[in-house]
Amino acid sequence: MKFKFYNGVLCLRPSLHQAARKRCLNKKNLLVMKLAIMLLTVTCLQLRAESFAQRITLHKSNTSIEKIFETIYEQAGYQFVCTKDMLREAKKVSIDVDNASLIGVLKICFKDQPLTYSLRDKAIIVRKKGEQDRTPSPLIAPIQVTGKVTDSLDNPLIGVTIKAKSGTAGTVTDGSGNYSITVPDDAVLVVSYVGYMSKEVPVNGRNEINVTLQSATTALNQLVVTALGVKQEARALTYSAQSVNVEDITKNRSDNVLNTLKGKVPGMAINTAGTGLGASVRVVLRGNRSISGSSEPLYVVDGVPILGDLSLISPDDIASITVLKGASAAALYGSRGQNGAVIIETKTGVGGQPRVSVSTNLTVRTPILSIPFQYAYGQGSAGQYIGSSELAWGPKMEGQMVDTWSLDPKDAGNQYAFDPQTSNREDILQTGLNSSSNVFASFGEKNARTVVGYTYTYGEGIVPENTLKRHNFTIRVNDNLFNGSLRLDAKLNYIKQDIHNQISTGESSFNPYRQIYNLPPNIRTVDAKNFEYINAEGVPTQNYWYPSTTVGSNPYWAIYRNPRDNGEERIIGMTSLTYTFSDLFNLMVRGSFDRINSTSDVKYFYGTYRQPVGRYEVGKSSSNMLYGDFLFNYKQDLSKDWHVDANLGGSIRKANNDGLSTSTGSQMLIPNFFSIANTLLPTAGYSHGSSTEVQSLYAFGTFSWKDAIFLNVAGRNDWSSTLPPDSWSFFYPSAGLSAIISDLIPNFPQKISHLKLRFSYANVGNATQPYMLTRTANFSAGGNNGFLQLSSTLPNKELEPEKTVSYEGGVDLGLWDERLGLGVTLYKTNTFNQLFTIALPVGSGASQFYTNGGDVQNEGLEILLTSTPVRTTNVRWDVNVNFSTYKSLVKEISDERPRIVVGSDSYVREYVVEQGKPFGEVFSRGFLRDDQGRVIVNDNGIPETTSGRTVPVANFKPDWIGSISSDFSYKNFNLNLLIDHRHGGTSVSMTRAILDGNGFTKRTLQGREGGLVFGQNIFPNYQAVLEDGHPNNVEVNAEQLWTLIGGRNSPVGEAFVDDLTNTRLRELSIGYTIPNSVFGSSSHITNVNISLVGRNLFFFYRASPYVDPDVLTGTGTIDEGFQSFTPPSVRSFGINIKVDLK
Amino acid sequence: MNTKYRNCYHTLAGLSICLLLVGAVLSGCTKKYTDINTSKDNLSADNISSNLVGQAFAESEYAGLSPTPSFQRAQNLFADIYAQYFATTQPSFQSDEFFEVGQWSDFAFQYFYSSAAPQLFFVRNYTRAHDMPVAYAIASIWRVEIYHRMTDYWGPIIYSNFGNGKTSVAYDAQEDIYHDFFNVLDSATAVLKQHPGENAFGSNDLIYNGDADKWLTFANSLRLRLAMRVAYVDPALAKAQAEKAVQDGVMLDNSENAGVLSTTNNVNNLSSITYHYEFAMSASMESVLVGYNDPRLSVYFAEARGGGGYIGVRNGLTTADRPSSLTVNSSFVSLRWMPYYMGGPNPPNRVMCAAEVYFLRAEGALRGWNMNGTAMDLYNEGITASLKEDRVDASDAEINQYIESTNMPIALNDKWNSPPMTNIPVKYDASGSFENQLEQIITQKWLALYPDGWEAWAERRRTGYPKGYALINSLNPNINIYGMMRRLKFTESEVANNEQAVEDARKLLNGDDVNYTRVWWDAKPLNLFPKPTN
Repeated sequence: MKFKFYNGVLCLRPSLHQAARKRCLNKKNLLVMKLAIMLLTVTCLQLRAESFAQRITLHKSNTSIEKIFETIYEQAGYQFVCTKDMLREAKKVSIDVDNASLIGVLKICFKDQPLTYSLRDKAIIVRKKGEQDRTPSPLIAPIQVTGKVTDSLDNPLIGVTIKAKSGTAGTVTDGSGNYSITVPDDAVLVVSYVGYMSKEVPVNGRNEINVTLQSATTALNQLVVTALGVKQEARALTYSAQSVNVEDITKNRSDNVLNTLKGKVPGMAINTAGTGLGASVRVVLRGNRSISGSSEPLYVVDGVPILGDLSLISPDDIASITVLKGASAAALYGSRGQNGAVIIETKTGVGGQPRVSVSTNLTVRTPILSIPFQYAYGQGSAGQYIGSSELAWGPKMEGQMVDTWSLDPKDAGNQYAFDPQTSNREDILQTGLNSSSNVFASFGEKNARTVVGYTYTYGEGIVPENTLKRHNFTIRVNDNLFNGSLRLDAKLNYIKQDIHNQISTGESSFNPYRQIYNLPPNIRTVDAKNFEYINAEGVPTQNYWYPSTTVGSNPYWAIYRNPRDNGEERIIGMTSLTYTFSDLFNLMVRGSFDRINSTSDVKYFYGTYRQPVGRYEVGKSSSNMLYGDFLFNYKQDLSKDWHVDANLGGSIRKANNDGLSTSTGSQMLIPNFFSIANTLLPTAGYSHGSSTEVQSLYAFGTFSWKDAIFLNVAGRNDWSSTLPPDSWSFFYPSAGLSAIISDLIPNFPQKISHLKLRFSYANVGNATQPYMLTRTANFSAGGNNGFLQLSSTLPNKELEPEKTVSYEGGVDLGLWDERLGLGVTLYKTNTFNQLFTIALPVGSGASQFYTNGGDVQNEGLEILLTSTPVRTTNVRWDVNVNFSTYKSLVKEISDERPRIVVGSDSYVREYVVEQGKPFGEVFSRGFLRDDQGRVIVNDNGIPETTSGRTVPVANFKPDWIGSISSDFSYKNFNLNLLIDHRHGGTSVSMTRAILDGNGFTKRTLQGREGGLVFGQNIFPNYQAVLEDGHPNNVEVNAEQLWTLIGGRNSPVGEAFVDDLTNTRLRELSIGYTIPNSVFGSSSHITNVNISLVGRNLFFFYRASPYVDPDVLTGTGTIDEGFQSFTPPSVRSFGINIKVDLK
Repeated sequence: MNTKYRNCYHTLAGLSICLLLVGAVLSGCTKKYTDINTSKDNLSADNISSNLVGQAFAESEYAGLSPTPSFQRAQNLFADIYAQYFATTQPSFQSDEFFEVGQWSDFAFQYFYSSAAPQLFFVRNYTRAHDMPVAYAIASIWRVEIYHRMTDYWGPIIYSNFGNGKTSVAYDAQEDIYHDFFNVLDSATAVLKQHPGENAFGSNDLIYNGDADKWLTFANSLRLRLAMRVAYVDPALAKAQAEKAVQDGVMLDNSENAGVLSTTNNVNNLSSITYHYEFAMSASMESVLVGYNDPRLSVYFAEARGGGGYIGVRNGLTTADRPSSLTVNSSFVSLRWMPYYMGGPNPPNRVMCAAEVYFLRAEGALRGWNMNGTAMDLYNEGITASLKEDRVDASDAEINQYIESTNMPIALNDKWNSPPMTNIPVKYDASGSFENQLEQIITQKWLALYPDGWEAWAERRRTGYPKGYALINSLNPNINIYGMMRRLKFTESEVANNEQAVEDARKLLNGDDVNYTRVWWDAKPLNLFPKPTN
């Protein structure tokens, strides 16, 4: 179904009309089908109250009938249903009337035309003269059916065509989605709507039939929100853009909406930080490209780039999500558009009858603990029990009595049985939960609609004390003023989120997982729970087996005695005005702001080893963004075949942030009294943060020929404050071409419903962070009068903007009436002139300097296969397959530095970008090898290791990722599932290095009593030789070996590499929609849907039980694959209920 | 109004509004861009006034001694334990078993060159360019002090090429660096001699409050220290420089001691890490201080928290021998080095003291140089100066009793039945062999320097004294328990970021880039080295 609408005039595309005609001819039922198709296409987002008494004023001379129809629609609200063919044949009209009646005006318009019309309900059906109006008389219809048509989100659909399968009865839905039709009681209603799958509904004598339409996701007519909020038909796109079904993300929810996109978009990689509830998410489209900047996409809400990402946005407010994967698609967004964009439109109202929908969701979360811990040997070293040991190299646990480790005086002298405590780790964790409740109301009339929504989200983590509370409040008003020539759109979002005890990551003493994983296997839960005792001074202090240690702590202490609260309050406001000057021109002017206020409150209790007398810290910070833009649009048919849609726009974006923090310092006078005044030395810090401003002008346009060939051209000029004055201004162009081959070639095979080729090129610029042009000096407290320290980064006064050049080509194919669809995209991006720091030897006087350079290339392939194996009245089954892969290559960095260590933890890994290598090679210490590649073992039987982290051991990038989703529905039941697979990619694990080094894992059970020979019975895949070249035959025991290979300070990363391949059941939901007949037509309750949902339910396959590559320590580029005491995978499942009230 | 006109009007109106907007954006302009792109939280390094140079010098003074966050990794886990002031009790710290943990030394190296060196580089450039000769001379003297610490750790280091702003910075050979030290001291002292009674940096000088005369005395004393350092490798240079130093006037009194002021914002280095309780009094310290009934024992250390008095710990314990009870059952530093918020006095960070200078002169006299006194007299003066320091404040009677004491180091009541660390008394034996007298001098200097492990380790490498205990265990296959860590390896970040220079620097070493290669001045014949006690 392909259509185009000009304010109220619905026109079928000639191509489709032809195709339809062919089908009709086959069926030898031309006339009926023609009318059906006419009726099939309707539009208009706003209808007005109207009556036949409506008066019309028209002053037009020699104007196309189409425009006359538009004007009539504007003034009287009547829509015309016709094909474009018909209008082409129509003569131009001259009319000059004031306050004329509709009938009178129509008479003038249709005078001498080859067309005639009939009025029905709110539509004017246009026919060629001579074609029969086969509308049955209402008088002879035995039954009147009323009802409502909604989309899957229960938004009413306006202008949906309802017609009887046999006969010619037809109508369209009104502004509230309601319809009324009179048909025989055994009729079958065909309900169809642009962009949605048609549905056939048997009447079976019912008087009320409500219909829900599923959107059609593969057809060319799907409207896609593209850059700057411009809605384009899929057919006109010259690049790959993908929409995501928003129903799924509200039903099968996550605490961060971005998590729900996992596995759904080819080429989109999503990882979550290991910080528990409310964790930030890293999204990368088509691979990393920025060496020291961010490779994350831009997030755009209602046409405005927002601060940060979508993590605080409620899925309930989202009407559509589109992912623009490449620079080509997002070039118009300028800076950061080079990484693609994720575009959200939030819901707007529909007017008419007030509607309220209520939904609630409750899921429980359980950990998937999979690290193979050992429970045979307990605390100690060299086989001896040491009650204060943080290691498990002690004796076998055989129930022997040992002295307690407890420091609590009341435990003095106690002994306990040295037995395996196989659940001591699980005992600490709990079943988490996630609940959310949403109310959404829409009211107002067609010209002044208001929506109000509220969502409350509450979560409890799998670690006690980790909670999240979030309130999302939204209000949005749409108003049409001055006869619809001025449209107002205004919205306000208020979001408040409080997270308690966000999980610390890595080796932090307060990371509960570090303490849980390092819990010796003999420590009894009951003892560990006694994490606090009163010391000799009468102050509660920590009870831990190794007091004053550096990073170890009682896990319960870490959970309960380091409370941290992080709050965020966010307001997003937007107002836009669109004025339609004439048929050809309109202008949109928009202003928006986004403000985030964050607070933090951190308490360290007395007895926390890193802060022995306690500490209290509070901080506040804010980020602000102001955005203003305008877009001037011009569109016109240049000729019968040529159409142009041109735009000129500009924007200004100002961003700044600041922060204030204070603490008691490492000194609190009164233990555990958390007041900033409780110190001799309060310290405070204030930062103005940074300010940036970007001004832009851009122009873009689409030229189309016969609605089948589209040429896009765009150019943008940015002025960025962060660059040197000479480089403030920079320009970049993009262009694209697409062709609907199936429409261009006559007599194209019928089974191919569409075939489209597309190609695009883009060049995108990107500025830098602020304050890179001058060397700064910091002033700080110290000495008698303060200290002055020069910044360790050398400025670069010659910086230029970064540049990404992207080429993308693709094919979209639809077969058998869209039952099978295939989209293939090939792309290549090169990011040049990158702004990055080059590490200098510290002896140069600085540690790094900013420079331009480099060329990072990504080439990839994305395939999206859609299919509908079954489509009957009652059963529908869709299966979609995603596949994506890419190659990354660092072609060039700089002459001075062909290799850059982008980041490193202090111990096991360095994240490196090196010329001639894929992006993101991870280097670590390796085993030292001789010329023949044999590992050299020293006289003690211990393998020798490289002195530095010089061996490439891992790269996080998968070879390919893919997913299969299945949506099955039978009558009111539906079953959806999503399975995704990651193939390849490796990471080196700090968790394992430490757990193996400490003797906590099953791997360390072998050879505790000696007898390990490296290269023989341990690491048997390695060939090992002694320094004299003879094969290694020196026996060692497990503790000697693992302590030197693993541990914290200098682990041999090569021994702790995990294969990240896995296949998992990402999503499963089973839903049932209760028929409205159950409630009766007088009930206020309607459309009740109940779904059981599950997320991340289990792994079909996982190459390494140690790792879930979805969960990483952090979300920086260098955190890719970083595993340092990350939380386990979390499985969640629960129920979702949604009810509409009327 | 006819249709055509209306359309035209609308179009014109639209276009003009559009143009206005374009104009507004363009003229909204980039005028403020330079302002916007200037940080409000930082000064611009281009506009630092002479009033602020002192604060940069203050930073270089404090940072030059590797304070926290560098201190533990730079000094406590290396020099302090290799000098056998302390032994490690934390099970995962392996440097006490002669295993150089690369990240620690890397951090130490990077911290110095990114925190101390740039400030001093800036101060020297600024004071030279702005004709501030006294300030320049003082900054140059301080440069010698902090760089000699660095070269003593690694051997070749980045010195003359520091601040070249390039991607490769060449190292200098230690021999060249030491020669340059003497030259720099020559010119700096010449300037200070010409400006008696002057002041530079005022209270921003955290050592002498800008007193140029005191800096002159310090410079001469530093010359003496450096002269002694090269005594084995270049005896003639050592003698000449030492005699010149003494002739020009070295520290004679504790009032001339050099120490960097500690404040609550820049705390005493050792006190910044003591709350971890990760080390303990070494067995060597116990054997000597307890054996001598030394007045400094209770000043330096606290009795074991678990009772039993002063208990030291052998260096090089295996992990199994370091249960947490060890920290309770051994002596930790006294309250003097506990954090100020736990009641510690937050003392200055010691740079040099009069006692050290007397011991240097004593050794010089022992070597037959003209040190204005005999070895014995100067030895006794050294002890006197140490015991008269504020922190000990012993009476004359106590001092005399101590100097005449024939007490000997004691054997330890530990798992290893450790014998006395050595067999020398306090009382100087002028008739003893050269090595015997040297051991007495250096062992007493070791006691006086405490807790400056940086200097004590250098002197232990140079002379072999104090004799110390052998390690219980060595993880280093190339250094056995009787051996000694002789230097730190070139660091990982330098190998990564300054590869060619490191490659060249390795050629400046007397051997491989390993822990047992001796630095240039470390030239005492190995057969003269005492074997640590076991």
